[in-house]
Amino acid sequence: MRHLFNLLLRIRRRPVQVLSFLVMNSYFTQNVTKGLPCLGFNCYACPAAAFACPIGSLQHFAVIREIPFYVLGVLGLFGALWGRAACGWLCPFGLLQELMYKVPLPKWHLSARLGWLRYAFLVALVFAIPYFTLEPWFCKLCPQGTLEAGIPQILLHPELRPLIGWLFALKIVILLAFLVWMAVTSRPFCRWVCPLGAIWSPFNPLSAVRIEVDSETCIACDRCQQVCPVNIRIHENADAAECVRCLECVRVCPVDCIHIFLRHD
Amino acid sequence: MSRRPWLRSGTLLLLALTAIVLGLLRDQWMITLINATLLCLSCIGIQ
Repeated sequence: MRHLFNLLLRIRRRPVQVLSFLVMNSYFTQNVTKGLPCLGFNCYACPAAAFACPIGSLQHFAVIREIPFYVLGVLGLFGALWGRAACGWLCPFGLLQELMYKVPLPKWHLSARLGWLRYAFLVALVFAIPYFTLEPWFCKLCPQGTLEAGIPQILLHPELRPLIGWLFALKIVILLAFLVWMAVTSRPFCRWVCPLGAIWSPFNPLSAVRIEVDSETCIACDRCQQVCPVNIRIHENADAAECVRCLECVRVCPVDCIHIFLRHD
Repeated sequence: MSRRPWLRSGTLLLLALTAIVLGLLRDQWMITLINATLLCLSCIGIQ
């Protein structure tokens, strides 16, 4: 198994993220695959979307007042296997945030103190408010939905343009605000807002594939924190809920004290 | 470290698989497919 993990470390993450974005929006397979929740934040109203957005699906089950066994089961299966790794390797919105952070602007490093907000967004906007109002309110505000679905649908269907109202304007403002925030802070949506990340976060300390830090070898140089897209000190808590399992820390550690392992190793 | 380190992740995997089967038995795959296929105009900001 260690050989497999060593091989994983040789795989470059960016091509995997791009490939994941292309697969999630592969259009031609949508008649077959759209019943499957995708492992990332990808709007199913996107004209090319091939999979169902798990957050959109959860809201729909809240609206029809049914327990979403199937969607939670799929998310739980992958969470139990590798924690939040899909956030770091597969999520198209994670990729967008990493690309935006490359824009040469002054950077704003924020602590993860308000990280609990994403759990509040999950409970309020994905479960409670849709349950009581019968409307998928997270979708109505979602910046990824605006980018992948709202704008393309308006461009593709001119007959929809006269129907644009205040909600579309609000969605554009939210999207622009996040794009600016992404350019100055690393992965802000993942750290403070993402309800999908909130679902997968508790799996980090429980998943089969985990990260461990050899505290005797670690020299606390903080090189891991410098490359971490969610700005955590992995040597202080290898099971941090914010960790997206991108493995950048494993790659850069000068004393090779951060390891990935399968729980039964 | 627990004496059975795989127990928690193994239990979670079983729970997840059970939930998937339960969902499939309740036709939730079809519900997900239909919901994902129909375009929700209000969700993309069209009123």
